[in-house]
Amino acid sequence: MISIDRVSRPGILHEVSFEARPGRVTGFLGPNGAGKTSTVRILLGLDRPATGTATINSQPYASLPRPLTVVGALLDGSGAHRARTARAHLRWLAASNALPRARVDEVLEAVGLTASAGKRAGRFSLGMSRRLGLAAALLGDPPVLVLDEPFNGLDPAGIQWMRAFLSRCATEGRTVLLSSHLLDFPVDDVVVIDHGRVVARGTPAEVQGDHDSLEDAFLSLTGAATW
Amino acid sequence: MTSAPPPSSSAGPARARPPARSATLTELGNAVHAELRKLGTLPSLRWAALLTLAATALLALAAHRAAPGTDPIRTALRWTQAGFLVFGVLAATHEYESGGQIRATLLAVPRRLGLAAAKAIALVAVVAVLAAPAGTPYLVSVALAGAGLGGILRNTVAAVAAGLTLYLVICPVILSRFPSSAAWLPDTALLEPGRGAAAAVLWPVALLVVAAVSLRRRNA
Repeated sequence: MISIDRVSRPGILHEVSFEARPGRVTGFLGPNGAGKTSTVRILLGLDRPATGTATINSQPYASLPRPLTVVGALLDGSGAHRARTARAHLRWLAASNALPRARVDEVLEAVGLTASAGKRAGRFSLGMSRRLGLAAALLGDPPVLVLDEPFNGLDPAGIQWMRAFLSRCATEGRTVLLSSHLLDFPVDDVVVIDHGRVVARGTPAEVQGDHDSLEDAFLSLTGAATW
Repeated sequence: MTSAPPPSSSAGPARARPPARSATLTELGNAVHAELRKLGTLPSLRWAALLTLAATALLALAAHRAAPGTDPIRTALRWTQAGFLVFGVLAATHEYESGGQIRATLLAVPRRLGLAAAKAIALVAVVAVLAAPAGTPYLVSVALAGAGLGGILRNTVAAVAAGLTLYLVICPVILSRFPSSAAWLPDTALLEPGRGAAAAVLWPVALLVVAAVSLRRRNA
């Protein structure tokens, strides 16, 4: 269970509250600059909120013992230093949380990077970097996944791959918080954020309401249909 | 992305090692292990170490020929200590270079003071081994000072410039103007064996404390 409770940062987030329930995919939707990444960074303990709390299983991220076994996170970029190989990156990550070394090869296989394991991260394409980031997220086989804009910048084949990947994660019963500025994946719950405020929450049907589609509802809620 | 095999997110359970008596110590140990792996797999650090050791050996040889009787390694280290400074800086600043490794680091080890401690311990261990041939623990001091500056400034060029200015400009100038300040300067331990040990410890410790507080307070 992910719980965001009245999280604020001056000028960025205003009393943002929502939950991502266990075993469900929660879409965290909003236009670019709405505050999705800021919320995710606060949830993961990277940034501090001015007020409010963000917890995972009732604990702040920074209090989780061996956090990689609880939450897997994908942020912009792979998180790997460009001069380090994919395998070396995953190995230090595994060591940091006392994960068995064999896990590194397992996750490389899971994201299809086995053949590129010895390549430096700086030579990876955007799609490969994203997959390396996913491999890191899966290293501790966490029940919770937090994915910030996983589709951003991917080519059609990459988007297709990512969709199939996320479907698999969902069917495995993982709790997924998926932030996106596009409605590109079927979700169980929706949270819509705009200008740092949550403007709608609920199941897709609830958020859609009287609109013709969820996308229409999203556009009218966020005033994003400006063209 | 096109050549990827069918995706599967899980490839078997990740088994944990049995919990140890002291969770905090185990956690610190894991973090140190990870930091040692980082230091061991970064090409720029390997080059910095290799070049520094080679330059020290060459300069020491030259110093021995030019002035037999003095300690040639110490003479060489007056200059090549900069290599150890750079090593320490890179150990800290490579986290902030492109790729954003610091986020991966903080996601894996979110308790920041523990992370700072693990980084310092790993650096001391690696530099102690590298500096063993030179036979002076002073090099650990200068590398840690570099790491402190790197952690505060989060930028390789800025931290190297600050460190070189401190050790190669400010300290010599202060020493020449105020010779009695020697005991309080960070590099006296190198220049005058037997003196300045406290300063060689206090300077890096002070810089590391500021770096640790900054890591704890600032957003990543």
